[in-house]
Amino acid sequence: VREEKMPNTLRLSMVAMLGAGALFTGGVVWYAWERVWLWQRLPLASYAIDFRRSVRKADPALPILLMITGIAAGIFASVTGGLPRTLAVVAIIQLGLVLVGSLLFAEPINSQFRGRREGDVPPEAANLRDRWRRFHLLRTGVAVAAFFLLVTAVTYV
Amino acid sequence: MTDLWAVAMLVSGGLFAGGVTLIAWERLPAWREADLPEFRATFAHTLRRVDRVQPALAVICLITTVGYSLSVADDARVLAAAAAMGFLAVLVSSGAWLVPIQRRVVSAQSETSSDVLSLRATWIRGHLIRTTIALVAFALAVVAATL
Repeated sequence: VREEKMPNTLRLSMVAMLGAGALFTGGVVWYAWERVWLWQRLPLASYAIDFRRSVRKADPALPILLMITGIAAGIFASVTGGLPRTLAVVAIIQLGLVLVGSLLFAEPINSQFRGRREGDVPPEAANLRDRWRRFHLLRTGVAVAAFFLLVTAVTYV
Repeated sequence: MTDLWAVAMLVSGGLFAGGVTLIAWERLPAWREADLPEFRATFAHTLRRVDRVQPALAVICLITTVGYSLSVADDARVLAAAAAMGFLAVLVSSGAWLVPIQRRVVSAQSETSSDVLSLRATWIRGHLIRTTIALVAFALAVVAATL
């Protein structure tokens, strides 16, 4: 327990960053561990239905959590210094990569499924599924690393 | 040492709470709307994957929260102890209440449709309760670590 009194801004930023960061990271890990594994084994028609429903559910929630984490980490970095700031900045860069990568690589694939009627299978669905899986596993690794850095940064304040 | 306990507690607790929350957010609506054969099949698939990891994560989370609680004092210790009790409640209620329901849903041939519907409703209610407890416990752990 710290002996000096911590500013409220710093405390709130830590709680928001860890709370939203945990939900976001736990969410993408859940997808990597459970959904991605199952989707690889489904016939394409079943995959298209399940993926479309899942994306429609996750799409508003996970990006919002990512943004809250990034903003709270930015506030945290601005009111701390030294190692905590450095760790938070590296984590923010990683979260930025996840966000930009999602917009550039995952979102065009998501929209291929989301824009069709339920049950319609997009052309080259198997290829889209493989690309989405590879990208998701990559962003999960980056997101876990970012969350680990944020947690470590908090313990050094 | 305190920092190591804090990192382990927050990472394992965060992944656990985030995981159960995403099941509540993404899976429960799908299962609630699915017809019974589809529900039983997809529920079984999910259990095969999740049953190996989530209990292990919950145990790690409990141990590290207890470890953190013992390594700090005053308010942080009280909050971390309360968080540990929450994670323990999740573990015990999952093992004693929800796991038997899961087994009946997945394996029993003798269950009638109304039995399975009732089991599904009970499991969903139980999962929402444990998600709430896990989130509260994780929030307590976060506050304890930021004192």
